[in-house]
Amino acid sequence: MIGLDELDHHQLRELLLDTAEDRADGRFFERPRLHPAVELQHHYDRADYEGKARLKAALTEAVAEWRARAHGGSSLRFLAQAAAALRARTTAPHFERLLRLHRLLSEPADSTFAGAHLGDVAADVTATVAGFAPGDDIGALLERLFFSTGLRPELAGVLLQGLCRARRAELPRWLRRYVELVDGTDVRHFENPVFLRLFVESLTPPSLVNAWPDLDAELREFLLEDLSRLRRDESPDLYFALDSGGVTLHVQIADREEKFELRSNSVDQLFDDLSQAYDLFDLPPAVH
Amino acid sequence: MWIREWCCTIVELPRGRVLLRNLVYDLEERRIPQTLYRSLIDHVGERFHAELSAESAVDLVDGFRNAASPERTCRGQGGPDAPESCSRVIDEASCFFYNFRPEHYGVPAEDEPPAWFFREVARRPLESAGVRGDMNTGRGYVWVTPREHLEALGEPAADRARSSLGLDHLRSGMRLLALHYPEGQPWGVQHGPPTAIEGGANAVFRSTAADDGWGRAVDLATLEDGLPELTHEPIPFTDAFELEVLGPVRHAERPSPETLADATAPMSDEWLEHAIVKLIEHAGSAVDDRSR
Repeated sequence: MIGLDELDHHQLRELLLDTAEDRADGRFFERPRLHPAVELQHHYDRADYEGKARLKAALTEAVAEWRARAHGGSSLRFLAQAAAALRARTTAPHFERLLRLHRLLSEPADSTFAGAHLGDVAADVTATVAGFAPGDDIGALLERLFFSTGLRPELAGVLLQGLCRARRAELPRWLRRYVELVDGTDVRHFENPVFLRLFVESLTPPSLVNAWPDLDAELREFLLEDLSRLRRDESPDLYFALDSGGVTLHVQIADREEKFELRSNSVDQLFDDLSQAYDLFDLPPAVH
Repeated sequence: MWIREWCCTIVELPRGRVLLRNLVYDLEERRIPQTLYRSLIDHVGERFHAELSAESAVDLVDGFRNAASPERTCRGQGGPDAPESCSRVIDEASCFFYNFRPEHYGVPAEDEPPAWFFREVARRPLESAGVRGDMNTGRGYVWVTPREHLEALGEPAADRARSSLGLDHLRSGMRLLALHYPEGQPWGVQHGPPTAIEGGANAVFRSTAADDGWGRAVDLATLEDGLPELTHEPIPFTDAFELEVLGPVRHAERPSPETLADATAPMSDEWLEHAIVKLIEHAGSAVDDRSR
């Protein structure tokens, strides 16, 4: 068995570059029932301050030095998952470079990349950088990826979630781009309850209300159709109830006593009423 | 002969004592194919020398198993006669990284998925577009238990599963899942009760040949036999699996290696001599493999 403190910087970086889901040095990754990224996190949690910094630095260097031919796509998947597990945000620019260099966002998902399934590699790397949000630098990075040419629509959902966390005030822009990407495809993230719940959590109800006036009719319709699927137990902070008499919007603001139950025949009117209610209760006008 | 020296070296460690006990047990119960045992002895013999530390000497067995040779694992002889429905217990973060598509759910990757993620996923059948990969670990084999035994454990489900399956690597706070296999799985691939090859140099593993053909985990609370277990080769993870949320581990008792070794492999000079003779004897004379 090898501990983190027994490896110097160079050895650690090489070990990380030589690891994959199905290829992990049993002397360091001694718990085969854990995913190696999860076991790496356990090593990280046990390390002292210096050890933690050393591990993150080695991981960042490993990503920077990763080469398709030398290390393979499954190694890149591991590095992405390890960066997510360790919250190693310094890896983000290197991942962006690799996504662009190898056209991982636009090449067919079913093709093979460096011996691995390209769709899996692209998804793991993209999900990792999206998971680093919020933060201005990450927001800018995600925006570049989101607006890159040829972005495969299936990756639009995870980037949208990251952007909603990083720069939620620009929701109308992100939504417009999302609709543009998935239009005419069979990608239906908003029909997935898991996605929908994450979306509302990332946005928070007040930011959705604030964005409402900036959404055009198409986006309002797009959102409402999907938000109406939220059940109370899925999204206790914001959900709609539709019945023959109109629409009831239920909003519970986190950490506040106030609970709104607004009813109207018009959803647009509901959001106007909600904006006034926010003013009335002196709630934050915008959440950025 | 080097085998005597190797045995005397590894028993300095609790996990080495357990490993030796398991090897001898498997040989006596004829659970490791003779050819596989000979390969193991060759592997260890080529690498062992007198200056090697006890740690490194013990790890030679894991090195043999980890050498990416599928024919070395899941070869335990005498598996269960009647197929039963199987389940695997895994932590949520590992399961997410191995088997779920972040792009399908639009979930940004973090150190673990949101606490409600798998509860939400488990509300409905798995979606084929949302899953990927194999039912696997990094070692090319998977541990399973009969579903009905797991479901009979009661509450708190995560703590009981962890303890009864000897999953001492799962820490307090980790959230656990049970992945229930589709009918007929994993019986179509190589499988068998775990032996010293799969258990390796791990003090929490105890090779056991129960009447039902399954092995037995070490219960972390009692150190007695836990749930039945066997290992199988990787199979694809598909939407035919069922997912059950077991909840978070709250009490993560972890017996020391010494305590585990005392329970599994009580040591005496006579027993050590017996073990050495047994290893040498089997290394030198081939016996027929017992067919599955």
